[in-house]
Amino acid sequence: MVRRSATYLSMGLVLVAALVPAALAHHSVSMYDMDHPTTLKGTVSRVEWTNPHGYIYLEVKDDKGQTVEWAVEINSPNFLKHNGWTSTIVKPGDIVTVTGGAAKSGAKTMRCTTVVLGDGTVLRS
Amino acid sequence: MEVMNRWIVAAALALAIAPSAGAQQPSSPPEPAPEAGRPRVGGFPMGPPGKILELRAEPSTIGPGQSATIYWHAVNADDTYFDQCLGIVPTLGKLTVSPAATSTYTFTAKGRAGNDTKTVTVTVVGTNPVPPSREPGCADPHNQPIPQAPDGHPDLSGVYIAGFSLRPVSNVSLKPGAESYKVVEKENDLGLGVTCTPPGVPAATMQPYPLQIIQKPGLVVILYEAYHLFRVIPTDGRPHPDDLDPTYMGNSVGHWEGDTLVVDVTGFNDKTMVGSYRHSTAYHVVERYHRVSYDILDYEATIDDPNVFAAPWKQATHMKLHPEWQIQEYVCEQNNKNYQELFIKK
Repeated sequence: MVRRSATYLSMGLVLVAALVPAALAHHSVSMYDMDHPTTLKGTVSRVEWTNPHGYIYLEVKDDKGQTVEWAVEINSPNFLKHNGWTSTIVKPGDIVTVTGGAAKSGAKTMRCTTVVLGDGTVLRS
Repeated sequence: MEVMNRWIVAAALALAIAPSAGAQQPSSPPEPAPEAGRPRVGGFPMGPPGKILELRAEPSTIGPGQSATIYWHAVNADDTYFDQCLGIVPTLGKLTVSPAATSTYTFTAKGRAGNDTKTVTVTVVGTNPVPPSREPGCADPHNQPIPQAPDGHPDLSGVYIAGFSLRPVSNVSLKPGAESYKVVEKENDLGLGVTCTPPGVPAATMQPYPLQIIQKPGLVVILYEAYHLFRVIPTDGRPHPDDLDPTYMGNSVGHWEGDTLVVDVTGFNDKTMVGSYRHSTAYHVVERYHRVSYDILDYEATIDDPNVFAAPWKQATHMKLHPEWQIQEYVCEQNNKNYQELFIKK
């Protein structure tokens, strides 16, 4: 369930994550705030391993303790496989940390640039 | 090309260190962002470095005449290869080796932000270790001669990717009165690609997906993974047809100038973009393909539209050969979101 955004904890200073240009092949990132990257940690509820983009749906607790679902856009499977991803490298139940540009509108969606798996492996996305 | 400009703008803005507005489970301590401090190339954040997650041999010890299987898995790498004549390989895979004597194989994963190298040894009982092969193309599989076609031209056949390296290499000058062809991005404008229509020429070359060149005598075919596009380019001297209907990818005819394949493209519709500009049906592109080494194909596009530009201008890039890749299915409509709906705050 997607709810109105709360004020989230600052994650400190970060650089804009790897803006993998592939995202731009299909659409621009003008609707995402890539200048101020957002980091989310949560539990994967489902994964869409599809073109033109994959999606990781992430259940994240906000600062009120409420669980909200984020639609985290990643690159296409075609691109990600060349970068060492497999269709199951992120799967439902996994706890992952994602970084990317959140929607400027406040919608719970993000253009993800990196994913950190539970074992600490960092993947560009 | 418009998307390229957006990318440049985004990257330029990204140069500033910005505080995250990130959400987090409140109970979790802040974690360092994975991109913090990572190097940039040409102003672009490059992401995490190449990393080898796995490299092993099973079994690691064999008898004379027996075989072992090497398994590997690398991430965030754009170039993955072995020495010992094993060549350029995908980021994830396995292969069988049958060394005559104990051998050590070096696996390299090169990424935009850094490289990783590991070795694995297959011990052959009763033998002494042998040094890696120094044969050309074995220690570094990129170091190979440029293949030649039977007709004497360089053989451009192969799977390549340019990614987003396509760039203007000359100034763009608009024709007076053509200012309306310049596209100024709006925040809610996701670009032409969001409708899954073909990006045109040369934009099709700059996709982050590979293309495959198939060269035959009198004919070159280019297959583009993204959007399932193709171009059939006669190189037998025939001219463009007289009755061209305007299309997204235009009509192409080619010829050789020395070692360079020159392709003339015309017959475009006015529904694609070049750089930050729309164009008219008078749009005209001349492409030059020159394989400068085994794994690098130089690409240059001269762009003209007498209704839009005051003079022709050029874009260029290097395309990198990926002999380990096969182009894949890319159905843009498979999961093309309704972005206007996706971005509604709920």
